[in-house]
Amino acid sequence: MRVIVTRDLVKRYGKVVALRGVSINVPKGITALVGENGAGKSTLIKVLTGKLKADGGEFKVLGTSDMREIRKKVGIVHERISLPPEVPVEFFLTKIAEMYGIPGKKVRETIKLCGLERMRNREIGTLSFGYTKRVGIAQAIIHEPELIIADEPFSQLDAKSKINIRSLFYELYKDHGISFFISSHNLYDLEQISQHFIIIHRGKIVKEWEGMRVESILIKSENNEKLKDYLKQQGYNARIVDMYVSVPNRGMKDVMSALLNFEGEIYEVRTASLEQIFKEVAE
Amino acid sequence: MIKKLYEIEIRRFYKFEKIIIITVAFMASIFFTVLTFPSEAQQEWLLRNIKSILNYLFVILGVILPVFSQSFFGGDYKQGIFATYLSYPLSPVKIAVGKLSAQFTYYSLALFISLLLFIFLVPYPPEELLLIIAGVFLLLFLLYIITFFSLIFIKYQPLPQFFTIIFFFLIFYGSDSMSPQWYVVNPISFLCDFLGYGIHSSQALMYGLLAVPFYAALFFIPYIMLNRMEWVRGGGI
Repeated sequence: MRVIVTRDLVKRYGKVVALRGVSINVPKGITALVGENGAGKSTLIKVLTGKLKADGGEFKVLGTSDMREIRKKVGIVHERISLPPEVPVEFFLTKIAEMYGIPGKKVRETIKLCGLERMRNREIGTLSFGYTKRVGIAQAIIHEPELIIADEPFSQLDAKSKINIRSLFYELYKDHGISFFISSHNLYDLEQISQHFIIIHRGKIVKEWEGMRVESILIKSENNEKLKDYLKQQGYNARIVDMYVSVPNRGMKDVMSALLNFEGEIYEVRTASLEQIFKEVAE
Repeated sequence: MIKKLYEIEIRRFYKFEKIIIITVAFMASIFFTVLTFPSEAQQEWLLRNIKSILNYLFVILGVILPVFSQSFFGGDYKQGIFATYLSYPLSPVKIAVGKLSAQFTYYSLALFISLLLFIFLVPYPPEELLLIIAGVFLLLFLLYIITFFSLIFIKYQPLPQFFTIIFFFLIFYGSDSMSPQWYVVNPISFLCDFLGYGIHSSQALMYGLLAVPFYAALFFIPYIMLNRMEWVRGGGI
């Protein structure tokens, strides 16, 4: 089952076209949406969550395009966590849970899951940025959504908070079966937890793939030019990217066996990182 | 849903804010009573005092408070709290109702305490007094709503808000000099005179009834003028 399906989504801001016929198929699991500033990531998320109305195309989230249904089934983590600062954490989460008819026990579980036990009686406005993000995540998961749409959940967080939130997302996916659609510039964090990747560039989807491990193999040798020519002779679509020779769309085993007959030193063979793939696509 | 949002919003008032609201309202109540009742010589004087006091109330509670609460709403909108609320199964109307209900709770409390001593001491028959109080409540809430929603269109700029307050002051304190048809711009004066003197002229009654929409329309004149001024819109001063 696909959690998000869009067909030819178009969104304009006056003369500027932010989405130019975006079509994506997001499966269950954790999906990363990557793109430069102004590529259309936040616009796409705003359209999917009903904050903006699309000018064209159609979309379904969890099989429906009824925004009321979507809001019931989906949790949203906004880029900027904006919660009433005067209200204590547990009180706020309890009231949100009551809106969905969720019992108090679930609130305590969510507080524990998000590591907010020590902060439960603190007013939201007095929390650090990292803890505020956690409250933002807690309010998004309190009604046990099937999908969480998160816009820049790692932004402005210190390293420890990033790791914690990344682990929390993965735990929610693994243990609770919640799917994620995450837009972020933090490629390393996305790479650690995602199984499905989408690259958006100037309002268009330029690449969408599942599982990055077979996406591209990077090889560093004593003579990259020679290695590239050798691999091309062997029928591989090799090209030089930075300090590496990149071989796309081939498995590790396949490339390794081809390298066995290469006359020259090989220093490193590894799968491409999301950052490298993003860079290749963007270029 | 609205009830839950109301509970969140009502919690957003800090304790000291609640104490300030109650204290100020109670002091206002004493102030109004002391101001009104020493000059008890004639019914006409008493009525004039009452009218002035109600005008004070009208301006302070009906205009300044909605300006403050609207700024509070504006702050929420800018901070994205509205956007967060919209991610729950709440429509924009439900959010507005939930938030306004919380504001109205304290607004009503302030209004009631302000009029408390006045209600006990005013020498009107109970049914007439009840009519006055109901009328004052109705008009103040109407004014609150008009002011509140009109200010949303000004896009939370401080200068237009300041001019709006000045405009209201002019309306209320200049209205008496606009004889003989000042009912048109001052519904509270009409209400007092209607109850105090028993004005039964159909023309006056019509003016009185038309006062509120007319008054709302008048409000939009400075609004449109101010909104056209780029330097105001850009917050350039």
